[in-house]
Amino acid sequence: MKPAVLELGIQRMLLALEASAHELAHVEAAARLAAQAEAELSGLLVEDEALRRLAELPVARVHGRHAPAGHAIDAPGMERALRAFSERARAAIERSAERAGVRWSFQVVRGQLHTQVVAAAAPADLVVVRGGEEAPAVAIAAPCSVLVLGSADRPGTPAMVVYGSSRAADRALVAAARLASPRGGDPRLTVLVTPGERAAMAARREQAGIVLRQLGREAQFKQLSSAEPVDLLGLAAQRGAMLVLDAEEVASPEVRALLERATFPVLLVR
Amino acid sequence: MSAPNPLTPDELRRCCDRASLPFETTDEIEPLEEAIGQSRAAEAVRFGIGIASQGYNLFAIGPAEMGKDTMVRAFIEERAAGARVPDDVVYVNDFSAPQRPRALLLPAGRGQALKREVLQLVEELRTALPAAFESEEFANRKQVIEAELKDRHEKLVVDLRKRAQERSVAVLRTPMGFAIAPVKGGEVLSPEEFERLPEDERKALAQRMEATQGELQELLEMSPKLEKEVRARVKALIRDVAVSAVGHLLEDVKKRYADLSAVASWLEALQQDVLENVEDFIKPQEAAADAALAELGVLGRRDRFRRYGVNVIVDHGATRGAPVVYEDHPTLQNLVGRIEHLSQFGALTTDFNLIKAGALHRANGGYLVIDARNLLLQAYAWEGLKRALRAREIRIESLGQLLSLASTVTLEPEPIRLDVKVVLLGERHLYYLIEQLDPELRALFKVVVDFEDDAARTPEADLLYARFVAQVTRREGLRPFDRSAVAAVIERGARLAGDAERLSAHMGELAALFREADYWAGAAGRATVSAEDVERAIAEDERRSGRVRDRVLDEIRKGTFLIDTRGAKVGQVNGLSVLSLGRSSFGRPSRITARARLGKGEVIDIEREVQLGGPIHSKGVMILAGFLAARYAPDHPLSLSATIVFEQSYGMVEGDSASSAELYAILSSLAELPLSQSLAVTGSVNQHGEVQAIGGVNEKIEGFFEVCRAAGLTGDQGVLIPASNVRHLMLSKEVVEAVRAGQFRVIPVKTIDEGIEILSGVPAGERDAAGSFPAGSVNGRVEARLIALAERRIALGRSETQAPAPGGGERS
Repeated sequence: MKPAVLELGIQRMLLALEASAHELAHVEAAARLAAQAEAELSGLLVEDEALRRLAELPVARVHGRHAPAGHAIDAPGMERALRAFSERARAAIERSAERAGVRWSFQVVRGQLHTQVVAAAAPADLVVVRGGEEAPAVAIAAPCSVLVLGSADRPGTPAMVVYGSSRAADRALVAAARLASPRGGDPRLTVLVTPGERAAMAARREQAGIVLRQLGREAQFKQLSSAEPVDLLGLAAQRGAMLVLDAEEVASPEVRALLERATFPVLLVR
Repeated sequence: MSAPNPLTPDELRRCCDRASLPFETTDEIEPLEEAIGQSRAAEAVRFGIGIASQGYNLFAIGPAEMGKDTMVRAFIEERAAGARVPDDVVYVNDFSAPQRPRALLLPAGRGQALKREVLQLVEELRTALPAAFESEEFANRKQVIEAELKDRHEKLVVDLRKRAQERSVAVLRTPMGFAIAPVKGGEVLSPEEFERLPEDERKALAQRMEATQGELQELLEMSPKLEKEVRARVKALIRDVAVSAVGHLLEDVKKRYADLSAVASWLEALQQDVLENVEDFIKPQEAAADAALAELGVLGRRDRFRRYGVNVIVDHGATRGAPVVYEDHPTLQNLVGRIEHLSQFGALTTDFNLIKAGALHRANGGYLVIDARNLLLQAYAWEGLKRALRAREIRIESLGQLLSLASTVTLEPEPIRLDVKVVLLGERHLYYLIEQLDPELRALFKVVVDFEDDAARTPEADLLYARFVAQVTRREGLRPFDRSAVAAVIERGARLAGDAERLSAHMGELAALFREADYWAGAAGRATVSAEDVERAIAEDERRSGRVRDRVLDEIRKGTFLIDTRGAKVGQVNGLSVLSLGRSSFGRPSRITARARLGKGEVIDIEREVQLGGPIHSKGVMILAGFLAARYAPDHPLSLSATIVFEQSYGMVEGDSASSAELYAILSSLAELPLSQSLAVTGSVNQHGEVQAIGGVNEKIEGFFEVCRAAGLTGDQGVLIPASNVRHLMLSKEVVEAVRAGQFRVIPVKTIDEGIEILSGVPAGERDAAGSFPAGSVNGRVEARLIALAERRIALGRSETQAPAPGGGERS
């Protein structure tokens, strides 16, 4: 294994943001992750054109947590709200990035989230996107690795990596090892060896061990009896871990469904 | 009538027979353990500390330096030694009402143990709880709860969006929440497209949007409930984790105090509080800030763990027997305790950790000894003590609270049951004053321990005195006293008692004499204290405090104060008074003069007229008028106006000891007979002419003796004293020796007639069978003068009646 492979190779973390109320909750976690990956944090706020259009309708109403019955909104009001949100997003990224000690940038674009994110992403990026309807589309189309944040994520906490025979297996292992920081005697990294022939499984385990030794990391190994995505996510949920998969897995409808309603972070490695 | 004889030297001073003392030095005798002549007081103390009923507190009364506290202390310490050690008292936080700290009683020594164990417990919790909550397990479980509920919420949103989509309605996220918009072909309608919709379609769309809005409203209204559920489940999780992490630690402590239900109950409350406030243990940043503040000495609300403190206000861990507490500074706060405050950023804060015990707390279960005068000098201390004794509980209240001066929120510590025996030490007049002014005194201090001022001077008492000397010399490491020194001490005791037949019980004053005698023995290089040292100590003490006495004598010698010690004069006699200045008192002769003339039968006391005479002195003078009228003018109006005065007296004159001298002066003036100025007179007189005992006889005689000695002793000089004062004589050796040498006399008189005969050298005279005094006798001359004055007055009255007064009135 060449040393270059041992690096994450992420130069920029592209944090995709929608103009919605709770979107900024992940900024702090993303900044810490960028620091861990020694990458730049780049905020990309995508303003959905549909919001401006709806605000021009005479029937437009907004229902918020503190006003469940809703109130009317017009185009200038929506414009002001979007501008204010943009300023808050920028400030949040600046604050979190400086706290984490990473370089940062911020831009606002209009359009649909997955289109704009895919357009902005480069192969050396790591796209960070919140789980939801747009997440599978981003995961499929992005030219780089994609981290789909769950509704209760703690990026940088334990990681579980599925170590199979795919070509991205080693990269997934490196990413998991880099992003899961050990604590005390707990390696906080679990290598899930995919099922198969006994010899093949032993070989995979040995290969994973070689990579980990080169990284100077320890890990727990778990032999999977099933590599079904549902089982994997259940396993990750038990440990509150980030699940690291080969991006090819996104082809699975189950994985796509789980990305829509992600509870825990899922890192799809390319 | 035979004139009384002067007293013999032996009658002037009752010396101690040294041969009756069966030892060479006090080293050979047993020290005295009890007080001299205080059997009544001792019985009262025994009774008072023995009876357990309420209100049987003690008030020991008697002059200062009587040894009251020494005797009371000896009794109560003996009894306390065998008594049960009372409980420790601790104040702890009442977690449900922090402003009312809870009081806990624990067997002696266990208060500190509880404090240590709870402190250690909190330290362990501060380590164990953060560890538990930093664990992956806790984080995962918490995450599962939060994720599950977020999932539920997200699913509701997804479902809502799907249903909306079926209605051609989109639910979009905006910075302000969710917005609902009509869609066509997956795109939000533009305003133009919306306007172009047919009316019925627009209505149908509006209905569909309304349905979606209703569902969205329900969903949003559900959000707070879901969040509340999350909080409740996380809280329950925190509790579970905390119980599993530290429950055993708490249980261990609780087990150790299972025998003390109140303590166990408080530990249970502490456990609940810890579980309710686990977050306090897992906030490292605030903990660091607390530590920094603690280093600066700033504590208070920021110290989150102060509420788990155990404030041991009374620790009997090292106490043996019941406590005996002496409170020298009995302020209200020093008695009932106080609540201190800390200044924190300009505001005063407090909590149960700042409760301080008072003397009542420390003495509870035992004895509290207080000086009554000190107690009364402190504002509200007496009231505070009474309130505690009456209610049988110690309630800590500040003066500010009592007087409603402070309206800020403060603590109301739980009162503590009081079971204490209070002993007040004070002077008699103080007791009687309080008794008169405060009816509660008798209810709360039912046992009066009345100390005697002196004791009968018997051979046994002489020996007790010797043993008292032994006690003090051994206790204080003084030189032993030889037999002569002890005899001198006994004689001094009699002199201090002012009675040759009694001995002073002022142990403090005697002990001071022993120390000073020891000093002079040391200065003379003696290994034992002798009579010479005791007498030196007495003389030096008198010299140190005798500045005023010496100045007075000096002024008499120089003639500034006019005192004759030779010759005879009409209407003039030497009276004697005692001046007391602090510890020093001495006799001072005063010239008393009287003038008589025609008048309305009044004896004018000039001292009283100028308000320099006290009531007793005035009473004595009024008695004189009664005597004169009854004896000399039973059938005539008393028609004299006599004035009497203490010459060169510029201060208050009180007492009736000069009334006989005043009477002699008046009689001399009426009879126009000169009185001997080589004699001085003391004694009060009654309406029958009997001379009565007075106080300070020794000082008075010695005072006149000093004046005579300064002028030169002639052998004629002396003092007339009441015969009933003879037993009080304990005169100085100088006076006794002068009498022995025939240079001075002390003559006891029983009646005025005896005295006037001695002073005038003329027989007093007694009424004959016809009721007349012999002509030429003192009484005969006085009576004749008074009759003459009466007749003159009658004559004057008659002439005034015949010559009408202006205005036609009649005067008598």
